[in-house]
Amino acid sequence: MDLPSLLMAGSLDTLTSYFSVAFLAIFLPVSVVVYAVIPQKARKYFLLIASFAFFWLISGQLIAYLCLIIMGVHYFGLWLDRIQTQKSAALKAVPKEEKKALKKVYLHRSRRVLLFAAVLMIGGLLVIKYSPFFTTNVNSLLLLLNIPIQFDIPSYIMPIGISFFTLQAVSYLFDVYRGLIKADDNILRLALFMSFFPQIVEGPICRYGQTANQLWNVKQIEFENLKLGAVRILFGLMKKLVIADRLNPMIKQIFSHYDDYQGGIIALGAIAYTIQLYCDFSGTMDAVMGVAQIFGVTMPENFQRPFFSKSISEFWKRWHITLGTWFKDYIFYPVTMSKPMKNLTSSARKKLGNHFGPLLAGSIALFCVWFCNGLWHGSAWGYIFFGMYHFVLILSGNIIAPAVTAFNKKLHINSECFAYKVFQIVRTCILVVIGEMFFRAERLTTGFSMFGKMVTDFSFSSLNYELMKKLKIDMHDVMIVLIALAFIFVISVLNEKGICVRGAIAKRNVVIRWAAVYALIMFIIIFGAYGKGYVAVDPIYANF
Amino acid sequence: MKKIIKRIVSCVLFVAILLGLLQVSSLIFQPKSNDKASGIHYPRANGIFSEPKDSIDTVFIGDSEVYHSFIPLNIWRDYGITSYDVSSPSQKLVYSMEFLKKTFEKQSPKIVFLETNAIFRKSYFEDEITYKAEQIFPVFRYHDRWKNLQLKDFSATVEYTANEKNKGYYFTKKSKPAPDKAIKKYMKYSDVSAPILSTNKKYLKEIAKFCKKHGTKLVLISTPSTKNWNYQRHNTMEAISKELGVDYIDTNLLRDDIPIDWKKDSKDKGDHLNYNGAVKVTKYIGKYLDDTKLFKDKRNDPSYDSWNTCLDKFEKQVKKGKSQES
Repeated sequence: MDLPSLLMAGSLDTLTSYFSVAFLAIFLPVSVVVYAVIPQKARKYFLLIASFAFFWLISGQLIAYLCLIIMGVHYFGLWLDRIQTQKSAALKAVPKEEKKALKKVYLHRSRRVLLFAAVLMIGGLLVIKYSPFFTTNVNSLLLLLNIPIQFDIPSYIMPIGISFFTLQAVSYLFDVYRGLIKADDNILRLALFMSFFPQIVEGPICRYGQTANQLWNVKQIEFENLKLGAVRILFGLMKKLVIADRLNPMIKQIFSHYDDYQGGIIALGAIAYTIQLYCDFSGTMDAVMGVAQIFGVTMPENFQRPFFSKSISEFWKRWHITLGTWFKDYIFYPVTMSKPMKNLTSSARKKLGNHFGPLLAGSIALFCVWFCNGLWHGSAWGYIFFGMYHFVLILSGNIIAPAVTAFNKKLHINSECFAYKVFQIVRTCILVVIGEMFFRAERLTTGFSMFGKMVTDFSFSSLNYELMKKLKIDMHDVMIVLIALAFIFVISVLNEKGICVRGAIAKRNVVIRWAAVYALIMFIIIFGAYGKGYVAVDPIYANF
Repeated sequence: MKKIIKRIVSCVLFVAILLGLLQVSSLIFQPKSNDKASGIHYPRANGIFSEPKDSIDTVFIGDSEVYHSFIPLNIWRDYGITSYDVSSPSQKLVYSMEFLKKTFEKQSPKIVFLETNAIFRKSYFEDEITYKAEQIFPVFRYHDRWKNLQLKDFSATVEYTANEKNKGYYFTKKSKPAPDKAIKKYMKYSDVSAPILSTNKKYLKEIAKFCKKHGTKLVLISTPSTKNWNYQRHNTMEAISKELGVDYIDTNLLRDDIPIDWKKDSKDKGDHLNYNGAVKVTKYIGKYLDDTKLFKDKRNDPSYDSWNTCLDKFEKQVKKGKSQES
């Protein structure tokens, strides 16, 4: 095929998935080979070119938006840095008693610049991603108030990964403002940090301090990294193709025709969707980490066996970790540490005591975090509800924590015993599954209807073989999904115990090593849900 | 240096063993016959590979428009010419090329009709890679057969023996009229040409070259469809056919010869034809084939008796009116 037609918009449409043939068989191998053969000095520039080419192949001219964001981040970062330098110089020149006032002046100046920059970055995201949702709701409100005005609902094509790179941009500016990092005067390094192709579609949301210098100082590909990276990609491919995509037809069927099914089937659909989402997203993260490892880059992990969590707040420390820490560092802490909140905490502490006092200000910050978290996932009421659902669960967990401890003590329940931990894990999983059901439901009202059916119309008898046939899944599929899940479970248990399975296998003799890799490859090729009869499922988080 | 050589050798060995595994699994997963039960994809189209050597005069290649529009047994009934619909749903040109090449391994059709709808289908670069991988290692195409694998799959050789009674045609009398809006817009004159992907043009040129090499006439044909066809596409095909030096028939413009009634002759709102519509298109094509004087009437040739048997069965099926399973 000639280059113009290869590059023709749409000819590599499926590049958004790191599991597509376009990525795994064309883009990645070409990038690795070119990277390996070019001189060391050129490698970082090549990664940048590859990242921009990747973005352009998916989003075309919208690359201009990414460029604008990069230029903006670079400019405002340097501005903030200049203010810091001016402050240091000015502080040296004034007597001690004036320093406090001067610091305040510079603090306000930096804050204004940061605020302006953040509004620009987040504003762009809000306009592109949320204005249709906002306009639709304004129109509904006007209709409700009998005001005969209706606005046209805007429609924008979103640049790929906008929700991810915008958060990276904001985190960079915050970190410069806080003096955690120096502003980067090298716009190319900054551009690579923002656009590195394995992470642009679904994250992880990296901090400048975590990856920028790693990316800029990349070295020759090491054989060990190449092997381990490839194995990790295969593991992700297994999660996505064998589990997530195989479950997809059933999930689609249940969620689109939930009216036809009893509560038991709806619960099954919700569990299956939670598994699908985990395997889809964590599988993609495995591919991302694997690709990055091939280039010798270590990225922050996004998952840490979330289904072993004993509470919802622990779950969110193990699921989409980089998003959670972003909200914690750039929303939760600034809100909690703000002056009004500090005042509220100290006055509440006096009235409500040491547990509930700080909880009040913390809850307000928590509300902000979960409102933003819900909204970040998408512009729909269902997502906002999803955020609020977790807010309520975490808040209630915080409120009742002392009561639970007292209750356990009174009944002599050993909260450290295995059975109690299993109970906590199962309880957390059930709550997560309910939340994910609302997350997947077409509308918020649909979510409530499904939940209603699950509660009022539940029976195990509905899960019979005859009905399973109508769910576009057969016993063979179920069997293979269960085998794959068991495999992931064993690996997760070992990881939880601190054993790295990849590393452990890598230390064994060549026969065991190769047999394990061949088994994984053949398992994916034979049992993967691809080809005729299957629709390639777009990565779920690429839409967020 | 020793380390590098060791790594290269181990990589080569690793890949060689992997290729061996793919080869062995391909032998297992490859369907052993061309009927539905064997697990082959598109058994209707693959039925041509069971036809006796050099017994097919002409083939119709393309997507679902083909197996809804051309009735080989009607052409047989009227002119004694043998034809076959080598078509599959949403067929892309890369697969049309595959069917064509495989057809010519056993047959020497004098005319190849290529339906033009597939030429406007979006074709991805990775389709080519997927196709090549499937060609070399059929396990990529037939991996899903793990659900129905039998002991004989581990030992039996591939033998295509299934007889496709309707010669690739999909019989349906279902009728859903095309919407008035679509009928009004249908084939409205335009001097604009619809764009096609360069990948598709490349395959089209390859198909034309292949036919030329085998001394076979290639005819590009657009079947009636309010949903898929328009004047812009017609203009493109006319220009391309001139460029390639091949015949082009746009049945959408032959309203006197092929009077499609879009209220009755479509199966699904103007997308595909039903039996009534297919009869009209086939009547025209049958005459076109007869007019070429390239074919002998074989209706009384005893070696073609099976065609008469198929025709009898088909006529009974038409009489019954029950649509066949897809």
